[in-house]
Order: sequence, then C-alpha cells, then structure tokens
Amino acid sequence: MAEVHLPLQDSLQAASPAVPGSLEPRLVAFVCRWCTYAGADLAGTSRMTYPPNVRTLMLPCTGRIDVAFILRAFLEGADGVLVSGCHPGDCHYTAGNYRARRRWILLRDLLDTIGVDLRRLQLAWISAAEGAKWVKTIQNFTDEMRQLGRYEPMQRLAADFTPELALADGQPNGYAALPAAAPVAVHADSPLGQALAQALQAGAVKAILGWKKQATLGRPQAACIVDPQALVELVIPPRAGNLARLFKHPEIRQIQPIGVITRRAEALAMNVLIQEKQLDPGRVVAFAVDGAGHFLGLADPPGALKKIEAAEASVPPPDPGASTTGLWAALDRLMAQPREERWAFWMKQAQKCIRCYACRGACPLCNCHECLMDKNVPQWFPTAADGPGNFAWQLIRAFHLAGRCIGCGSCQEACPAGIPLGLLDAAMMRSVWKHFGYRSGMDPAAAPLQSDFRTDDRAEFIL
Amino acid sequence: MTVLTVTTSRPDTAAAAARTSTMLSRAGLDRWLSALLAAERRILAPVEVAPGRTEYRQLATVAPAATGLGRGLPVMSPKQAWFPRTEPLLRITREGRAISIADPNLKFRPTIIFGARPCDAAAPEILAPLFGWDSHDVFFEQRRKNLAFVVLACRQPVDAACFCTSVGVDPTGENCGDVLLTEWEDGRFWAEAHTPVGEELLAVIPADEAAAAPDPAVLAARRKQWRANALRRFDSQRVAGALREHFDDPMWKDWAAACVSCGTCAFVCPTCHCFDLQEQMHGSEGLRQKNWDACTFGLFTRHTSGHNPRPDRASRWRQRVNHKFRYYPEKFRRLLCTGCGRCIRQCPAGLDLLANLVALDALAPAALSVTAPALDRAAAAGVAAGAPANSPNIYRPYLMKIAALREEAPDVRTLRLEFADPDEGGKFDFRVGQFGLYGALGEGESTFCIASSPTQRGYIECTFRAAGRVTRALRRLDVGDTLGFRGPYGNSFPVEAWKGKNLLFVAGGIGLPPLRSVLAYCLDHRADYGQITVVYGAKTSADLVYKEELATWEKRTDMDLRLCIDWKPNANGRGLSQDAAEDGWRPINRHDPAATQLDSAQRRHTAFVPQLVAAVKPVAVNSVAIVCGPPVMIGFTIQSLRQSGFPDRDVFTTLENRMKCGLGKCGRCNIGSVYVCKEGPVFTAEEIQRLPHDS
Ligand SMILES: Cc1cc2nc3c(=O)[nH]c(=O)nc-3n(C[C@H](O)[C@H](O)[C@H](O)COP(=O)(O)OP(=O)(O)OC[C@H]3O[C@@H](n4cnc5c(N)ncnc54)[C@H](O)[C@@H]3O)c2cc1C
Ligand code: SF4
Ligand code: SF4
Ligand code: FES
Repeated sequence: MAEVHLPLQDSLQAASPAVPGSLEPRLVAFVCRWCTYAGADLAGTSRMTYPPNVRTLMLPCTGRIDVAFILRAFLEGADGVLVSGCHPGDCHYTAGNYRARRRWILLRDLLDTIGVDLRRLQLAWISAAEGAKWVKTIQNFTDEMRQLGRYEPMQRLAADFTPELALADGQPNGYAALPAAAPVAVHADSPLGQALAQALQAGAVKAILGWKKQATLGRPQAACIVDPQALVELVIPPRAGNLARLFKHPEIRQIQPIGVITRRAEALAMNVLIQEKQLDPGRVVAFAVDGAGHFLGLADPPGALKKIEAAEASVPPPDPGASTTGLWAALDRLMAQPREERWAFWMKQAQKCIRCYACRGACPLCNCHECLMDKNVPQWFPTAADGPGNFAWQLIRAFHLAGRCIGCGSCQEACPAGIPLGLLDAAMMRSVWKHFGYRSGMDPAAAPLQSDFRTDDRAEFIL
Repeated sequence: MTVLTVTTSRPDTAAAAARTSTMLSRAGLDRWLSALLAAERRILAPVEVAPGRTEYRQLATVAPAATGLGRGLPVMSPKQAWFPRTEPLLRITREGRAISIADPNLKFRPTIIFGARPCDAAAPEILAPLFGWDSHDVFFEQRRKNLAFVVLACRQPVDAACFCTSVGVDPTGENCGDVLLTEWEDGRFWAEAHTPVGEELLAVIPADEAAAAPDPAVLAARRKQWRANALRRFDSQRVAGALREHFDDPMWKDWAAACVSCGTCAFVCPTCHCFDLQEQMHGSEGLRQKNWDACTFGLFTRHTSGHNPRPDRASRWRQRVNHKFRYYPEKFRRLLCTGCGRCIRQCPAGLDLLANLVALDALAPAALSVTAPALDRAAAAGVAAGAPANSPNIYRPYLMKIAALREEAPDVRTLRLEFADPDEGGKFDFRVGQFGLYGALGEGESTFCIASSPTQRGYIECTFRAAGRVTRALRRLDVGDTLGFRGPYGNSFPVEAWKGKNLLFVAGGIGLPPLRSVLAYCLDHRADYGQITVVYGAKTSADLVYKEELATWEKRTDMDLRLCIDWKPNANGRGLSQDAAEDGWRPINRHDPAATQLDSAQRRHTAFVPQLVAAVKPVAVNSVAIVCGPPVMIGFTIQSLRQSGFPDRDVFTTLENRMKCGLGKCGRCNIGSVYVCKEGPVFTAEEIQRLPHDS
C-alpha cells in the first residue's frame, strides 16, 4: 500500500502529482487508523491485490477528516476521493464517525449544489477485519473512475481562470440584487426612542448597538451609542447587515450589559451565538422591533425572537423545505438545471470573487478567531483570487456556516462582486432542514448542528 | 508641499500632441467602436450587468456598450487593466531538488478603456511614480504603456459621493485621456484627441462623420458650469495638515467603529495598489504571484510572532486615510485618490471617507505650515537594487546554492549561500545592514539581513529562526539545495561616518545577525574605530547564536564582549530569582545595575540586556550605539542609553516591519512617508521618534 509519511499538506501534493497526459484515475483515500487503515493493512499482509491508483492518508479518526482535506485533494488533482473509517458504534473515540457522517451529509449536498459529480466522492465504513471489503471498494471505485475518466472540470480550475474575468465576462449574474429600501428614523418620542433613552439614562445598559446614517449617501452604518444625546441619530434600515456582527469585536463584548436593536436577523444570530457560548444572554438587552421598525418590547435575545415571531405571524417565515418564493425559487431553478450547468454557473460566480472578505466581515457568525483562509502553516488554499482559491473560499465559507447561517443575507448584500452567496447558504439551510429538521437560530438551548449527531442520521450513501 | 493636479494619462506626450477632433453621432460612435474592435484592440467599457449596476467588461461586440456608457460609475474601477487582482510574476519548476525559474509573459495586449470617467483615467498616472521609483515594475509599466483611455466627460456628479474636484481631478476631463468625449446638447459626442495615441484612435473614424464643432466659447462656458456642478468639499492641503496634527485623536476610533476589516474599499479603489507576494505549486509547476492586498486587513502588518503594529481597525483606517492624503503626497507629490467615491458607495459597513475628509478640513490648523515630511530620506544610493542582469523583472531572484549550514540555537540556522551563476556572484556587492529576500521557491520569501560582511567575497550568509511558512520551508533545505535571493535592499549603517568613534553593539536573541555583519566589517577595519563593546543576550545560553564567533570575540583584547541570559523565575513561580540562571553566569545587581562591578575575567552574566547595558556603563562621548533585537528590548535599551548620556541621534537600530517586496512597491512596510524596505531598515532613535508611531 502506498502510504506517505509526510505532513498532511505535503502528502496531498505527493499523493496526486500532476501527470500530464495520463488517463489512469488518481484516487486519494483518507482513512481512520483504527479501522480502515488496519483493514487495508490486513489486505496487504494477506497478499490480496488491488489497483495501485489509490494513495492512502491515515488520520486518527474520521472525525479528524476536515472537509478542507477533501477539497484540497480535488484541487491537487485527485479524480476521486474515498473517506473511510470505523462502522457506526465502533469509533475508537466513541462518536467521531457519527460526527463525520453529519459533515458528509452536508458536504454532499453542498457539492451537489455547485455541480460536483458526487460519484467522485465515496464514503465507506471498513473495519480492521474487512480487508476484503477494502479491496473490493478500491477495485470498484477505480473501475468506476476509469469509466468516468479524469476529473477535467476540477483540474481545469486554475487553467480556465483569467485574472481579468471580472472585466472580460459580459454576463450579468442572473440573480437580482436584494432590494434596498430607505431606513426609518427612530424618533425620540416613539416607544422605541423612549425605551432606549430610558435604558441608557438609567444605566440598565451601558451602550446601544444600532444603526446611523452615513452622512454622504445616507447608507446605514452600524454604531455603538453610549451618549443618550446621540440616540437621535438612530435609524432602522430594512436590511443592511446584521448588528450581531459587532460582537466579534472584543471592545464591544466588554460592554455589559449592552442593548441591541433587534430585528429578526439579529435575534436569530444572537441565538446562534448564545448556543455556541459566544454570547451571554444575561448581558444583552434586546429591543425587539418588527420588520417595519415598530417596537415590540424588551427581552433577552430568545425572548425577542418570540415577540417578533408573534408580531410577524402574518408573514410566514421562510420555510426551507417548501417555500417557493424569492431565494427558494431561485434555488429551485438552479437545482432543476443539469449538474454541468450548475457547475458552470458557480464557476462563473467564483471567478468574480476578488477575495475582499466583505462577506466574512459582514456575517455575524463568521467569527473564527483566525479564518482557515488566513492560516498559512499549512497554507491550505491559495490566497489569490484565482480559480482554485476562489473555489475553495466559496465552499469553505458555505460549509462552515451550514447549520449556523440564519439567512440574513448580510454576506450577499456586502459582496461588491455581486455573487449570489445567499443562494449557496440557502441550499445548505434546505439541506439542514431536510436531513435534520433543524433551523438555526431558533433554539439557543439546542446543540450546534455540526457538533451534534444522531445514531440514525442518514447513511444510505455510505458503503 | 505641492500636489500636482493630475491631467492626463500620458503627460510626456500630451504637450506635443497636435489635436485632432471630430463630432460623432451616437451611430457614429458605434461605428467607431466597431472599427476599433476590428483592429484587434481589447476594449473595456462600462456595461450594464444588472439593473442599475454597471461594470467594466471586455466588449466582444459593440452592442453592450450602449447599456453602460455614461450611466453611473461601474462598481469596480478598471484597475485590473494595470494591476490585476492576481498576476504571475515568476514561473517556478521543481523536479526533485532541482529548481528552475522563468519570467512569465511580459507582453500585454493593447487595451482601450472606453467611456472611463476622468476619475478612473487619472489613476495610472498617480501610480506611475510608485511603480517606477528607483526600480521599475515592468508589469505595471508595460500594461500602462499598452493602455489608452477614451474618457467621457462628466456634466454632473454621479451622486453625492463624487468629490473629484476636491482632489484636483477635472470632471470635464479637459486635458484628460488619449481621447476625450464630451456629450453635447444634441446628443452628439465631441471627440478630441489629446495624445498621438488618441489621434491614431480617431483616425479610424469613418470619414462621413463631419458635423460642426461646438463653439469654443460655448464649450468653455459649459465646462465651467460642469465643474461648478461638482462641489469642492475640502481642501487637500488642509486635510494633510489636520492629519499631521490629529494622528492620536480619538475620532479615528469613532470613524472606524463600523469597519469589518475587509478589503472592499481598497479593491474597488482605482489607486489602492498594495499587494501581497504569494507562491503556490501545483505538482512540479508553480507561480510567484502579485495579489491585491489591503491595509485594512488585520493580517497586513502582523508579524509572524503575532505582534501587530496596527492591531485595531482604528489604526488601520487611519493608515488608509493618511497614506492617501498625507504620506503618498509627501513622498510622490500626488494625492492617492481620484475622488471617484467608490469606497463610500461599496463599503459594507457604510464608512464615510468623504465625511472624514470634510471633518479633517474643519480641524485643520488656521495657519498651515508647509512642513516637509517628518522624514525625507534619500533611498539607499550607490548600490542598485539587485536583479539578475538578464531580466527586467524586479521580482525575479538570483538562484543561490546552499554551500554550508550551521545550527546556531534551537530552531535557528545559518545558511551560507553561493550564487548559482558565479558571474553574478562576482558582481554582487552590498553594504553592512542591508537585507535581502530569501525564497524557498514555491513557498514564498522571507526577509533577513545579510549576516556576513561585505569583506567576505563570493558568498553571503543569513541566520534565521524557523517561525512561519517560509522559514520552515527554508529549514527543510539542505546543502546543495537551491533557493532564491533578491537584494541587497535597504539602506545601511554609516560605518564610514563612525570612523574614530567608540562603538557599542547591543543585541538580543536573533538580533545579533544584522550586527554581526557590521561588527565583522569594523573588526576588519579595526584601526579605524575606538573602543568596541558588545552586549548580547538571549533567553538561555542555548539560544545564543554564533557560539563559535562569541568564543573568539570573548578572547579578543581589542574588544569587550558581555553576554547575558535571562533571570530564572523564583521557585514559587512569582517574580524573578536573584540567583544565576545557569552555572557560570554571574548575576548583576538587578536593582541598581550600574552598581555592578564588572571584570574582564567574568563576561557571562544573568541579566536582561538593558540592565547589562547600564552595568557596562558605556561612555557616551564620541560614541555610537547600535541596537537590534525584539521591539521591547529595543525600547528599554534606548531608555537605558539615554540615562547613560547617549543622545537619540547616536543610537542606531533597525525597524523590522513586515515586508514583502523589499522594493518600495507593495506598501506593506510603509510608516509615514517612509518605506522601511528602502529608506530603512536602519534608523536612528531620533528618526524613529519623528515617524508616526504605529510601528
Ligand atoms: C529588515 C528585516 C530583517 C530581518 N532579519 C531577520 C534575520 O536576520 N533573521 C530572522 O530570523 N528574522 C529576520 N527578520 C524577521 C523575518 O523576516 C520574519 O520572521 C520572517 O519573514 C517570518 O517568515 P515566515 O515565513 O516564517 O512567517 P510567515 O508568517 O509564514 O510569513 C510569511 C510571509 O510574511 C512575511 N513576514 C512575516 N513576518 C514578518 C516580519 N516580522 N518581518 C518581515 N516579514 C515578515 C514574510 O516575508 C513572508 O513573506 C527580519 C525582518 C526584517 C523586516
Ligand atoms: S464579498 Fe464577494 S468578492 Fe468579497 S470575498 Fe466575499 S464572495 Fe468574494
Ligand atoms: S472601511 Fe469598509 S470597505 Fe474598508 S475595510 Fe472597513 S468595512 Fe471593509
Ligand atoms: S514596500 Fe514592499 S516591503 Fe516595503
């Protein structure tokens, strides 16, 4: 068995060197050391033979097999990727494989949305005793990949990219920008204005997070207001980002208790932050407002969401499963297209990305202390706004938000390149709903989706 | 300070151009475009890509131009035409241990930007001095050479975010572009060539387009009106003055409070030009790339150690505004802004550059002193920035072979490098204190000083600590392996001016390598200098680098070497122990270092470097001190030296800002009007005091 004792990063490069002209498929297998690796070893010591096309990389557990590894393997030129570990119930670390399975369920839907051929990603449970299953799996996978041929579209990512495409591409992105409406002023004598002034003057909150209007164009600007006199500047924009993103800044987190003008989007986002232990609900006073900016009362973030849901009962919340309007309709149209068309659509979108990270900055939940894309030891993905780099960024962003994204649309609104990021997030929201009946931001007491599992999560796609 | 008004994309030819002009109907304009397309020019023009949204697109046919011409301002500037978001600078091929490099394509297609507004057309001219000072960025310069602008005059500002007239850009484009189009009352366009290139472009216009030219007097009157339509919002000189006075004001925090540390403002901007150098391999083939970067990203200036000179959003936004309206004008005599307003329209957080500038104008001191920049130093003269002679590509390194390597301390290694091409090696020269960029080809480049002395010919040495991506990759290399080297870069220590003086060298940890070069030089010219004292310290004795040289220097009688290692913590974990950190290392008097009696038999001490400096009681008269090490050590040492009577102008140190290009192009090392990679890294403590203190 060809195994490589190098850091993972280098192994990946070594595992799939570019052999121009070769028609043999190159496969990469990520295996858990306790089960599949031992099974493959057994196959070796029992002198069973199987095609040499696969390079095997051993990891401690399927739970350690990051989606980044899989994407990286494809970007390095793998024609097929196999991930395999212990059967359910047999994980050496109890539940690593269950957690991994959740990720695979989401990853498969994400890859399907962007038009990756799912036959290229094979998932299997192979125990230490199943040397024969390993051999058969590799044999079948290799045969299938031989039939499919090299994974050309993926391997052309770098070559097909023209740095000036944003200039060269004459196509509009086919997905209308989100509508902008004028912000509503918060009058001092309105119920909200009075409640804010009272809370600030009485010291019930030390500051208020809200929106001001930028002087030049009147665009909304997030603000942290400490001085009651400054409350007159407040407005409520119908969209424009999500105030909960301000909790990413240490200086804002230090202000306790803090008031937040809370629309549905803020309530949902704060619920996720509470759920992920990033926000102490006891230190936040939510000033709940409905879609039109009417004050609904004070509460903690979960309470604010309830008030808003009650007030907006006439407006059905987007149902990721069934809704056929807006974003969901656009998603339906996209998914009705053949896989190759979806791939072409997303690659065109990815080409436009300039890697400004406005989407990341504007998102209330993109809150990693250090983003994977900013890490360089190892350097997982190119930082350049090129084919492979943008492909990786779009997928990593969407995947890391799967089960967390609350659909506020801040990313898409922020994107200067006009990329329909919300569409990818919507696909993940629908996937999360379909497979797990889960809607993020609804229940701050629930376990975060990607760190949770159920023993009866879907499994039929796993060999 | 005079800030030039930017007038044309090609000033050198503008004056000489005999103007030709013509009146064009809308249909005539289309026919002209068709003719240009037929001439195989690449044409970029504003095209409506979604309702209300225009973008510069490459035209395949004439039709799309009708949707965008004169409608709003494209969301992105056309800067990719002279500065693509990612551009290959070097091709790298790696076969096993063998590495070869080649220049990428340096030929660029002639391109016309058609229907650009004057604010977009003004940008390349603003950037020309940066990409061309001292060394020439052939990528920018070749692209620019192949670029022509057909400019469309503005009769009205696009919206309230336009402020071209405040930064000296003329919205009527009277002298702007190769061809200026002015839309006339009857819907026709008055086309005027401003350059020979423009005349060539106009020459392809079909001859039947002969209509009466506008009356010059009427045209002049209209232009006056159109200029007046674009209100002047601030005075750029007053803004520069206010920026100087209000560096530390709390308003920066307010102004940047909503910032999300993205790169949008810089990426949509026609003049933002900071870039990152990155390398990536795909199998055996790889690239060095120039990628857009932005000073608003937290990563921009962060050192590998985690130390960040601009750690928060306020200091980064302040840098952006200062760079555009103060530093760049001080250095290149041009405002780094064309007033297009894109950052105001596109900032996802709604930051408002224009409002900030208006506020700064109001803050400006009544009497504007036309002060020179805080530091206006000539770039290192004498030694040209090194580039292999056979290539115009300043980002192309020399190939070097590792001739020897030596482990200095845990994670610290010295490499001796010989030029793969001995001819290049023979011609290579540098001065003490200069640095270079050492490339693990395919992984990237790191900045290290040249640690050997120029008196040692035929090779150079560097000493580095394996810290991040590149240095770890460099550490994986072995004797015989190839790496890339660019340099020598930066200024040097004024060893000539120091003749006859006493020299005090102070170094901490990995700070000895830059001093080793100077020290080796001065020891080679020993008779030229007075007393030589060296104070060097590290965390533990194992962390001291150049152990062999230290042993030799310890024995020399014509210099005084003092070594120290850190105090060990008290047994109870609180505070520091009075005891020696290791055997053979004698503690100094920690509470009153100067009271310590030093003798020449005992050169090893337990102390922090600044304490040992005090204990050495250096003579300040007719002396200079040279200090290198971690920022904290440098700070305390300078204080200690002040107490010993050293004036700041006699204390020399090196600033180790994060660097990428080493050529004064990428903007990363910029502090004030200084590019540390060119005008540094050597500064006196006095000069550092005068720099904006965000380093
Ligand atoms: C003028 C000068 C002289 C220096 N001399 C030495 C020396 O002699 N020995 C030594 O060990 N170190 C020296 N340094 C610091 C050294 O450049 C960095 O520690 C090193 O580049 C880190 O690279 P990395 O790949 O390990 O880190 P990464 O964080 O992976 O950095 C990757 C990239 O960032 C740049 N970078 C990161 N940190 C710094 C930094 N602090 N300064 C400059 N560029 C940085 C690198 O150039 C590289 O391109 C010097 C720095 C400067 C500016
Ligand atoms: S905001 Fe748009 S262009 Fe910027 S990084 Fe995100 S997807 Fe790319
Ligand atoms: S000012 Fe705006 S565009 Fe610039 S970094 Fe900050 S958030 Fe991004
Ligand atoms: S300008 Fe690039 S390192 Fe100084």
